[in-house]
This record gives sequence, C-alpha cells and structure tokens, in this order.
Amino acid sequence: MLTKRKYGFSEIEQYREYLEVKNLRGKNKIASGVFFVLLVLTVVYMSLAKYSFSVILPVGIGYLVLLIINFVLSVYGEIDTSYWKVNKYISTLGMFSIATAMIVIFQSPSVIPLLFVAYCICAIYQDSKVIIISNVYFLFTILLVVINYPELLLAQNITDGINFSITFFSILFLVMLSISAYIIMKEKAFFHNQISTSKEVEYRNIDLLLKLKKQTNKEDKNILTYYDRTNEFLQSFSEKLNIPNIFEEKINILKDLENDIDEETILQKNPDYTRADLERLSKLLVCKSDELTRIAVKISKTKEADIKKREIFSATHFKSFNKQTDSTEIKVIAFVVFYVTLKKGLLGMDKLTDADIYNTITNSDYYYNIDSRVMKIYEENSEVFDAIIFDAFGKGGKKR
Amino acid sequence: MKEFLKKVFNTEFLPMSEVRKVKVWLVLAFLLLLTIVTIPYSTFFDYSFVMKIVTVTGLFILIGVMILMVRIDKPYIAIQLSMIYSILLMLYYTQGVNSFYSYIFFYISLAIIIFYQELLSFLLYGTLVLVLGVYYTLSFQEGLLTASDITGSVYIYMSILILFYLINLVQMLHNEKIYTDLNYEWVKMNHIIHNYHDDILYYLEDIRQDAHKSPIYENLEFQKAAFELSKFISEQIMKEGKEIVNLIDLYIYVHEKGLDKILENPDLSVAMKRTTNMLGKYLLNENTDMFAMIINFYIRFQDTKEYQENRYSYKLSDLSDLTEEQIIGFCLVYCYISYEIEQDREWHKIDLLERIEETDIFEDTELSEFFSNHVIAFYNDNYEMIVKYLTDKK
Repeated sequence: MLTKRKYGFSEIEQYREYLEVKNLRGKNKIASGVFFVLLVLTVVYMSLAKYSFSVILPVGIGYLVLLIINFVLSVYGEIDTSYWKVNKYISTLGMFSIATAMIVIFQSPSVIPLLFVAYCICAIYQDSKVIIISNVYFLFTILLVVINYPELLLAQNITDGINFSITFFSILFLVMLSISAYIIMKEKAFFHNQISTSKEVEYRNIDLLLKLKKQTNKEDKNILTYYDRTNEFLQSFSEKLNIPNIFEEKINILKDLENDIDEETILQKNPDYTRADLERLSKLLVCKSDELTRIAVKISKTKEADIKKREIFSATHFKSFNKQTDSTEIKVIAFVVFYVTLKKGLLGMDKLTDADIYNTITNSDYYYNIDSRVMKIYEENSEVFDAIIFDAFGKGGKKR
Repeated sequence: MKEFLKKVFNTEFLPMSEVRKVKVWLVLAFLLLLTIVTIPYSTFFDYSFVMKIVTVTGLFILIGVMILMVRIDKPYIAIQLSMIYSILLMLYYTQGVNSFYSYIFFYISLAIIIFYQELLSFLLYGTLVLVLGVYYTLSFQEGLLTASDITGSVYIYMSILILFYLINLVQMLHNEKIYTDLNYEWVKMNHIIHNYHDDILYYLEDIRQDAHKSPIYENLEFQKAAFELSKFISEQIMKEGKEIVNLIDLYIYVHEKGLDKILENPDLSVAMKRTTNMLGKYLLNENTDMFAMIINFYIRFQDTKEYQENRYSYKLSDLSDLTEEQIIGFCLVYCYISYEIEQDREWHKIDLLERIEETDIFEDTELSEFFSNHVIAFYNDNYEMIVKYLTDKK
C-alpha cells in the first residue's frame, strides 16, 4: 500500500518518537540519581539537626516511594516504553510534592529554593507537559507560602513589601526557567527532526537511485550469476570444513523465487519448507525485493563517509538558501533558481504540480530555509510569480 | 515582532546560528525587563543616589551595546555580555539589599547562563555565581534567616544552590553528549546522502544526454524566468534590480566555464571571486546544496512503502534471523557491491589510479551496522575465498 502525498514526511513521526524514548532511559537515571542524593542529604541533615524519628520517617519514606516507583517503572519501561513516559509525570508530581511538604514541615525560607531544584530536575525530561505541570505546581507552592505562611519569609531585617518582591522575583525566575526549558526542548526537537528527516530522505533517495538506475539501464543483467557464485563459494567453504552444504537448497529456492516460479511449485519441490520460510527468504532476493539491495547500496556509500570531529557542529551541513555568509542578492538567486527549476522540471523526474510546489515551499521546513523577506514576497505575490513563469515558459507554463 | 515570535515557536526548524540569535534576543528582553524593574527597587538599596543613577544608566548602556552586537551579527559577544550583565545585576541587588529576594538573583543569573547551554561559559560564569552565592550566604545570613529559623539553615541555602548548579552541570554534560552523538549521526547521514546524490546526478545527466536536450541552465525559458523573477524580488527588497541581473549572468557563466577555472583566473577581482564562490553552492550541474535541495524536494512526492518498524534499519539480521541465510545474504551483497565497483570503473567514476576494491569497502565500513557478529567473523575467517569466488570478474 502506498502512502498519500504529504508536504512533510509523515513517516518520520514514529522515528522521532523512538529517538525521544531512546533518550528517556538516561534521563530517568539522572533523575533517580538526584532523588537518591536528596534522600541522603535530607536524612543526614535531619539526623544531625536532631529531628525526631517521627518527622524523619515520612520525609524519608516520601523519597523512597518516589525512588521505588522510578525504579519499577524504569524496569517495566524496558518492556513497554510507555512506562518511561508515565514515570516522568509521576517523578514531576512526586518531586514537587516532597519539596512542598518539606517547606511546610521545616517552615524555613532556606527550603524554598528546593522548588528551584525540583524544577531543574523535571526540566531534565525536556517535555512540554512536564514543564506545564512544573510551572503550575511551582506557582501553587509559592502562593501557598506567601498566603498561608507569610511569617516564614520575615527575615531578621524586614523590608516593606518583601512578600510581593519574593513572589515577583520568583515568578520572573520561573519565566526565565520556562523559556529556557522551552528553547532547550525545541533544540532537542531540532536534532530529532534532522535525524529522522535524514533517515527518510536516505530511504527515498535509495528508492530514487534504484529507480533511475533501472530507467538508465545501468542494472546488472546477470544478477542470477550472483546466486551461482554464492553457491560455488559456499560449496567450496563446506568442503573445506568437511560439512554438508546446508546453503545450496536455500540458494536454489532463491533462484526459483527470482525466476518467478510460483510458491506452490517451490513448496512441492521442497516439502521441508513452509510459506513463512519462503516469505522470509524472499526478503533476500536481489531483483524481486529491494531490501537486500538497500543494504548493499548503503554499504557502498557509507564507506566514503569519513567524518572529521570538527565537522560535527559545522553549520555548513545545514542546507539552506538563507546562509548567513551569503549576500541578499545570492539568497534571491538561490531561491529563484530553485523555484524555476522545480517549475520547469528536471528531466528524468516526475513533474510536480504548481500546488505541490507552492504548498511545500510555504508549509514545510523549506519555509525556514528561505530568506524571510524573499518568502514574504513569494507568499504575497504568488500570482505574479505564476504570471512571470507563464510568460517565460509560454505554452509550457501553467496557471495555478 | 510577529516574525520573531514565529521564529521562537518554530525554533526546531532553525539552524543553531539562528537559535543562538533567538536566545540572545529573549535574554535581552528579560534583562531589559529586570533593569526596568530595578529602577523602583533601587530606592530600597543602600547605595548613594549618584551610584544608583550611574549603575542603572550603565546597565541600560550595556543593554544597548548588546543589542548593537546582535544587530551587527556578533551574537557570541552579546552572549558573553549578557552573562556578565546578569552577574553585575545580581551583584547590584545582593550588595544593595540584604534580603531573600536579592538571593533569588543567584538563581536568576544561573538560569540565564544555563539558558545558552554552553559548557565552558557555564563553568566560567556559573562557577563564579556559585562561589559568590556561597560567600553571600555565609557573609550576609541575617537577611536570609528568620528569627526562629531551623538549625543549620545557612547550610541548607548553600547545599541547595550547589545542588542546583551540579544538576544543571550534569544535565548540560548529558545534553552535550546526546547532541554530539545526534549531530555526528546527522553529519554522517549528510555525507551518505551526498554520495547518493552523486549517482543520482550521474543518472539524470545520462537521461538528459540520451534525450539530446541541453542542460536546464542553458534553456532560454529557464533563463528568462530566472531573470524576471530575480529582478522582481530584488526590486521589492533593494528597490532596484540591475545588479541582480548581472549576477544571474555570472551564475549561468559559472556553469559554462566551471567554478574552478573562474576562481583560478588572476584577472578577476577578489570581490568577484567571493561572489562566484558564494554562487558555487547553488550550481545545477554539480552535486551542490542546490542539487540536494531540489532532489530532496522531489522525493517528497515519490510513492513509497508504508511505514514499518524496521524502515530505517539496514541490518541483515532484520531480514532473516538464521545465520546460514544471513551468510547467503552477505554473499549476495558482496556480489552486488562488486558489480557496482566494476561498473564505476567502466564509467571512470573511480580514478583508475585510486583503485577501490570490494574489500576496501568492507574494511572501511562499520560492519556491525549491517551484519551480525557471526557474519563478520565468517567474513574475516574466509576473506581470501570470498575475494576469489565472489568478486566480479568481468
């Protein structure tokens, strides 16, 4: 079944999700480590400060419960990653609850910054819902302290309006933290976007490459000899080791499949095999399936990829028509050449419709790869663009 | 403003250089707000009136300098200045008034420094803020402690500040590792995709020559459309379009003459060479950024198989979990690559002096990305036989 045409790659959503989940394991470990450190520090402090066992116990249990939940969900997450996702929300709520409880128990302004630490731990998850929960809980606790425990903030040298100032600067701090968490989250999304997009781009480029290879008759006409050479080699290998040739039968089945012999006949010839075996073996076909060919194409192109360390963070890899080093005129030319080439069409490629070109430029990541002034002119004057193309191409140009 | 907000909400599509600028603007807006708030708060501070005026004026001037730095495209300087600014503001508050709300400024400064996610800056400025924070807590504790505060609350203040610093440091190191790995993978993918484009360009050129058509940049309709559109856009942005028409001429000329030949010409001015070099990225007859963006645009409309879990996996073990079948698969892959190399030699795509063998490809590739340990061991143990039997002997 073939997918519907989309302006972006709909296929990358799942891979992006996979990248997201893949990093959750490490983040959970960091959060658990911090919970453990906090547990130790709190219990040690309370013991040294000679708090009664009845006060130490609930705080200690609070941290322990959080740690146990974290551990259990992390283990289950290895089987089903949704447990890792649940874990980040439970950790967020748990950490803020413990911080709030400690402020209430200790009744000291020195514990209030624990909220900042809680926020910081939860920001590790780089998740928008976690940030929202953190913001709400943070605000709730600050207001709880200011309204219910105003005396808690009255230091030895009291100044007027201290409660207002603390609330105000705490909110400013929260705003800064939220912006920070938001941008860091977006930066992460940038990398996930780039990786998943390039995976899909690679997949489709191999498709295109194989298609053009066929179109230009550059395919090997003697692919069946691959099976003969393989058989010959594996026969010799088996003889060398003095073992029966366990490969020959399968190679013959592959040849039959490649020669379009129907499955029923193959199964009659090889009664030890099932349809499932044939289905599995058919993935190894060179002509009739593209899965093995994809591996071969990728291997042949990966060899040449020699990456220097300094290249890793170089901006030159970001392909765009909006490079900082280019002058405005160059940016204009780059866009125009790109646009006119798409409109004219490349020989050997399928013709794109005007709507496809317009919608993809204006509604996909291409939008951000074009100088914003040029983009604005294009969006506001697409009719003029079409008219110029129509005029230049004569009969070949089409109105959108 | 609308454009800026659009950028903020779509940061995930922007390159790092653009994101850095967005970050600086956000911090500048935040610092400007803090500085405005500082004016009424200054009345509570224990400084002389002149000192207050000088400091607040100085802070505003510094904001102006930072804005100028971003405007003249020096965001790195603006970033450093903004971090220094946040520390100065923190010192102004903490030395001016002894109170819990001024103590929050240690966290605000750290948050600004952390925001940039630059490890060295964090280690430099962040550590400075931490040291000042610890010193402040020990020296000016009367402003922080309540009349009946708990035992050792000064140490709680200090511990939490240190913990805040350390958690952020760990997070930054973790992010740095993740981002380096992701970036490495992305750059590697770009290299590989570039190699695919080499072949795609070759095939498209073959199709064009077979059809006896001239290259697209020589097509008069193409040139006319490019001239007219460039002129139109240029007139909107720069109020004139003469210059750009000359540049389009140069662009077409670079295709005909060749980028290297133009750059080697001693009679050309440095400015002209610089422009030519800029245009080099957008040539249509080479595997350039332009070619990559056009091909990657086209493939969006290519029919493709429905998404499956192993879509981006190139592991032979995903096709079959039986070792003997993986060995057969390996042999077929070897034969395929062998034919490809032979064909490349025929087309002279590979320099005959720089003779690439199948074994070079297998030796220089991270085989574990494609094959199981059993298959890799099989290849290593039977290297000579593989070369003898499976190499294309055309």
